[in-house]
Order: sequence, then C-alpha cells, then structure tokens
Amino acid sequence: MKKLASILACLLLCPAVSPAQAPVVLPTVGGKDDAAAGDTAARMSNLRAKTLEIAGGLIGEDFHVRDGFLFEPSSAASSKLLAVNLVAGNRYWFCAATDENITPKLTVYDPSGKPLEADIRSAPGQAAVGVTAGATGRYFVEVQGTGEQLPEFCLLYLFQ
Amino acid sequence: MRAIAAILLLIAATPSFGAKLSEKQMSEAINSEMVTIPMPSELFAAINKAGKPDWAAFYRDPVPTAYATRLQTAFNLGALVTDGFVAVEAQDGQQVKNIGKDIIALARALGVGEDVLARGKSIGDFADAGVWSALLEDLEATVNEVRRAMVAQRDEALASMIAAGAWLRAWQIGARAAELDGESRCAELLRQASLAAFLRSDLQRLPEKSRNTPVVAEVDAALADIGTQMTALTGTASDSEHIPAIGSTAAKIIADMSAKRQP
Repeated sequence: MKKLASILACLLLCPAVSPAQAPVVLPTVGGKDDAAAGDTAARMSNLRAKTLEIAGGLIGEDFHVRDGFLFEPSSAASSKLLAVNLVAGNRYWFCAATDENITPKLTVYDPSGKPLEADIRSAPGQAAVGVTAGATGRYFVEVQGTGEQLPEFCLLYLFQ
Repeated sequence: MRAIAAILLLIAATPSFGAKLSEKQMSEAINSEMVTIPMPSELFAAINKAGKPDWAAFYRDPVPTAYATRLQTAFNLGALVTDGFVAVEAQDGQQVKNIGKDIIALARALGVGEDVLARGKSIGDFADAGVWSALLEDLEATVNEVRRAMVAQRDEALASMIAAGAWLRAWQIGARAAELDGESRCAELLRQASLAAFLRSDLQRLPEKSRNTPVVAEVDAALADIGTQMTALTGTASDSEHIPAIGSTAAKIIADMSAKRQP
C-alpha cells in the first residue's frame, strides 16, 4: 500500500518538465539539421519510454531508476559494449529496447570480462537482465541484436 | 580428415555464448557520461546494506552559494547534490529542501534554463511528502539537466567538474562510513579506482585553457591521489591506512573548493 502511495504521489507531484533528454545538437543555418535533431529527440524519447515499460515492474520492487540513459543509433556492428561502474552488494537491472520488432540480448560481464549469471526478462523489442555486483568495479553490458546488424536502441539501468 | 579439421577450426574460432571479453574489447567499450558515471546514491545504497549509519552525522555546515569562477560553482553544485542524497538517506525533508534551494541557486549562477529551476519546486514538494525514492531520481535528473545544459553551451569543463564534485564528496562520506564501520565490507565499496580514473580522463580531455586552471589542476591531483589509495585497498589490515587517506584528501578538496577565493 505504501509503495502504491509513493508511486501515486510521484505521478501527482512530478513537474511538467520535458521528459525527454534532448540531444546535444547545435542549430545550424538552413533548418535541415534542426529537423534532424528534432526527429532524433523524438525517437530517443519514444525509445526511452519503451525501455521504461520493461523497467516499470521493477520500480514496484523498490528499485531506483537512473535518470541517465544511453541512446545508440543503428550500426553495422552486431553488438555494442558499454562500461558501467557498479558497487559491491547492489542489485542491478539493465533494460534495453529497440524500435523494431527485434528483441535485444543483454549480457553483463564482470571486471575480468567474465559473463555473469543473470535473471532475464524480455518482451518483443524489450529486454532486461538482473545481476548482483559481487565486487566494486568496472563492469560491461553487451547489447546484441539478431543477425548482422544492431538497430537503434536505448539502455538504462535500475539499482537497489 | 581435412574437412573435419576445418570444421573444428571454425568451431574454435567462433565466439561461443558466454565467452570472456578480451582486453581489447574491454578497452574499446563505450563510456557514456550519463550511464558509465554512477550516482553517489548507488554507493550510499551499498553502505546501507553493509550497516545503516547515522546519515545525519555526515552533514556539513551550509556552504556559500556564490563563487568567483564557474568551475568552482560547478564543482560545488556536484558536491551539494551528494549532500542532497545524504539528506534523503537520513529522510530529513527540511535538510533536503535547504540543500535543494542551494543547488538551484548554483544552477542559476551557471545560467541554466527555467526547466532546471522548476526542479527546485518539485524537490521541495517531494521532500514535504516524504517521497524519498522520487527524490533520489529528481536529484539525479536535476544534476543531469545542468550537465546537459553545460554541454549544450559548449562548457564541457563545467559538466566534468559537477561529476568530480559529486564523487569527491561521496568518497569523503564513504571513507568516514568505512572508518566508523570498522569492518572490511565498507572498505570494499570504495574500490572505485576505475571511476576515479574515468573522472580524471574527463578532465584531461578538456581544452588546455580549462585544463590548466588552478581549480581543475587541484581537482585532478585529488582524483589522482584518491585513485592511488583506492588501488591499494586489498581487504586486509593495511586498508586502515588507505581509507583515512581517501577521506582526508577528499575532505581537503571539498573544503578548499567551498571556500571563497579570488578568481
């Protein structure tokens, strides 16, 4: 009941500030770059919202959502690797979403590069992986698509 | 036979599911300011698991909200956000509101927009309602908005100083918590040499004009010293030398930077 009250209070008290993280793109003469920047911001905002959907259930389990997130454009690479700094004893959920109907695969590696045992959740176009940090240090999160290319994706994490 | 050998070679060369990352892969990993740099609240969550301290004991006296340089302002804004996280851990609504006002005053001095300034009201509202989880997220959102505003203004130095200020204050508190705890569990949490190195690398990528200012040089030196002390943490009795060293280096830079000085 208390958790539900907290969530409701959060929704009621949240200020009407821009929910999206605008890309850092400086305007140039001509307007084409302005339109492109706006389009990127919209895609970023939509993908973040989609990533938060799979994270939503975890918030109810007392996990805190990081405000910061990674937005990566589509690339010819089949996977991307992100460095994160984790603290021993904390539990983390890394969540990712793509715009296409491709469910990303997430793997977390410890500071020595060894893959961690993880809990996995997924839905079409969304994935989440849960790990506990055994030691403090620099870990790595790999995001893989299916096939040869990785579509545009958003990744964020929660901690407890 | 040759075909079998070729197939075996192919299987050996193909990365298997669950294969270990190579040093090259790890060195080429993406470092994203907004994700690779954690929030001090993550360290504090871990400290709580090791043994919930009296968070109010880590409060410091109010600091000035006007400084001679924007670099110093940015550093102190970061340190204040960490103070905000401490107040949330202490579940002290009034302290959160006081700190929130100071954060917004510093953000205003950096020339951020109304969106950020509106956060001051929401921090106050959440503090009054005791919605601690939302406060953690709102404090991070506030500092991220300021950092993004600084990057948009092509003032990356300020964004880097905010992160450095936040973490140096966090390590001052973390070291003190480890000393009070007396066990190795809190000391283990401070093995963040890679984070200290990342914050340093951010400062070292700044244009020469910013990098060579006394304020940036002092912060860089503090990060270097703390990184060295953190690398020396082994989970043994020798940690009892390194933990106070981390704490005193962090305390000194926090005190120096919060003192008014000539530009």
